[in-house]
Amino acid sequence: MDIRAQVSSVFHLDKCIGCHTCSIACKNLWTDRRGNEYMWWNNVETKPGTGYPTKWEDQEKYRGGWERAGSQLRLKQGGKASTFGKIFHNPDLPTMDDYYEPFTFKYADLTNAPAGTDQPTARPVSMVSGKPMKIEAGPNWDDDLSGSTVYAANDPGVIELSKEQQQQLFAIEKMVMFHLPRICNHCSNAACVASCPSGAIYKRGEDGIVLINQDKCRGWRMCVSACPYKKTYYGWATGKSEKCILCYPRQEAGEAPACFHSCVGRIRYLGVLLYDADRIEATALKADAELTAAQREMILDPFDPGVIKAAREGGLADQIIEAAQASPVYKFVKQWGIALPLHPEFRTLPMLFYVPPLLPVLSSKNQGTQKIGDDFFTSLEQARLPLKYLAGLFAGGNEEEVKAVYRRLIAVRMQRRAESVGDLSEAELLNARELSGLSREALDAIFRMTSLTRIKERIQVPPMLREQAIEAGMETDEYQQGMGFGSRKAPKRRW
Amino acid sequence: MKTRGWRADICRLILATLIALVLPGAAAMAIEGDAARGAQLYAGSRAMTNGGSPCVACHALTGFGSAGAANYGPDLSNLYADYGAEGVGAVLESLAFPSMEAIYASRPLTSEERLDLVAFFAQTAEQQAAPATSLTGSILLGVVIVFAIVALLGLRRLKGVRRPLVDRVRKQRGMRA
Repeated sequence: MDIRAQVSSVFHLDKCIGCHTCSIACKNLWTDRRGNEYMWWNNVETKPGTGYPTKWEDQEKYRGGWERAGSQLRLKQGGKASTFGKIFHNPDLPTMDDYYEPFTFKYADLTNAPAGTDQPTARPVSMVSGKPMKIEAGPNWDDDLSGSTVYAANDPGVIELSKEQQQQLFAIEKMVMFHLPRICNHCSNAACVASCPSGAIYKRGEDGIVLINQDKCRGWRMCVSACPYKKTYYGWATGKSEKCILCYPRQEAGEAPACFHSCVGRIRYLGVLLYDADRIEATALKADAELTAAQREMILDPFDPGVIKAAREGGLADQIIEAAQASPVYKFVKQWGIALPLHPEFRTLPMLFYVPPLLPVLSSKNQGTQKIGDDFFTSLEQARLPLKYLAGLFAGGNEEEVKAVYRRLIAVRMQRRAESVGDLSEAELLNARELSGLSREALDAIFRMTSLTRIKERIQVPPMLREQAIEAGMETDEYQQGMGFGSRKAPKRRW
Repeated sequence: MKTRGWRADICRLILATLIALVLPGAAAMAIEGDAARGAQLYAGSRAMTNGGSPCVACHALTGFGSAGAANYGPDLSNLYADYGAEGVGAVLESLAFPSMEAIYASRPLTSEERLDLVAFFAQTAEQQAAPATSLTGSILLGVVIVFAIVALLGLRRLKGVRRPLVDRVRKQRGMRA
């Protein structure tokens, strides 16, 4: 057993209102620089939709992630020899149009334009060429189902559905959507790390944050194509690739990452997970439908004395083990089993989990007056978003996984309804609990964690123990005087 | 020299006979030079007495391959056919071309060397092989092949996802792209 700690997250999609505050917080903090205009380390997508970059989920096009080759895993874009062969012309990169051409507006014209007969307007100009342009795409172009006949209809998950299901999905009175915020998943089997010819990408040993060493990066861009989530980006001004750093400088100061901190809907939870690194390969080799369960299996119980012992032997500090015990992510993923990884079939073992959205079940028959209890459980198959679609997103096509989560989420709602409205019988509640497999206390805890917690309970930034790490290597005075806030070096190659 | 024994004599005899058959007028001159020694002088494996450059430094000639095909001076494959024995000998002596004059005026060829070279050119004229491929041509061909391979590989390149998607949907609905 090789126990590692991973700073991991849960996004509760029922709570996401699609306000993009997270994206703006991240943009202002990290990617508000020349050459990075098009980068959104955090972006919020509308589902159904094709996302950013367009159709990123379609690996037949982008060739990201892993695939099984016999008893081994292989990068879908090719092995070492293949990478070397195309090192000067990586054929699998998204084009600028697939992200979007970054634009701004000539705001100065509003006040500086000479007097005329018309109102002055602020024309859009490209941030790449500086010339006036026609805006045809953006990082949230299909926001709130806009352009749905093009974008939502071509969602790789929607295409998988039958014609009948597709029609149902887009019928006016049944129209449905939800938001999907995305950051780097800080995968435990990261494809970007494996693809880098320069060895510049690494997963931090102490917390599993995946980082690109800007001194070692040579801008080959193999990570850009290898990441199936398209969450590494090439910086055109620096000639280096960049990605979400999970705000590790903020975390080292005890703060939540910016997107977590700014989240209006309070959908984001953060905490440490302990997992067994020896099981990564075996887990990633499972069949598509088994991947979600196998990954859950890989995550270890921080209360188990055997795990604690092995963790200590592996060099994990007691504070980290305590943080893992307090982690809300552990509760969501393991104890309650209501958070699932996004697209586990890419086999990168993403360490960001989503509580799938519990969209209203159809109730057209009685104008919303149908009884909640029995109907909920019998009508899951008629949910406005087909289970097949959600299973394609969160469970490698395994509908049972999504169903199990929904049974639990519904049981929470029923228990709350019984408490606040009081129109459900104890028999119905018991039935709901039995189907969900969770106790009354667990359901209450889910309710509490979902609705009533404060930021310090939702976001448990672990002690990063930087002081100890620095002290181990050098005198603290020396570090302060020598390093300051770290080194800032301009890249040798600029244009 | 000892190394050139009866074998070389026979070669010379055969060569002379051949030349005499094809070019009766040149036979008298050619017979006096040594074609083998001329070949060595041409290729630079034997130094010129006065330190002049070997011909191969500037010229191309059939039989020397593309590596021995310099293109500063003209290709000499048809030299003998065009100028004849006297012509070649005269050019080597009088240095009629300015670029050759600059090189050989201070390091003239001896009369023996000139005769050897004439004999050598006479011999190569006999061979009637294909003209030497130029090095530039080979490089160009190589570049074209490399570019063709890259272009073929590039056919699989991802040429955009969003634009084709939008165009396809618009086309399906009969809209102007």
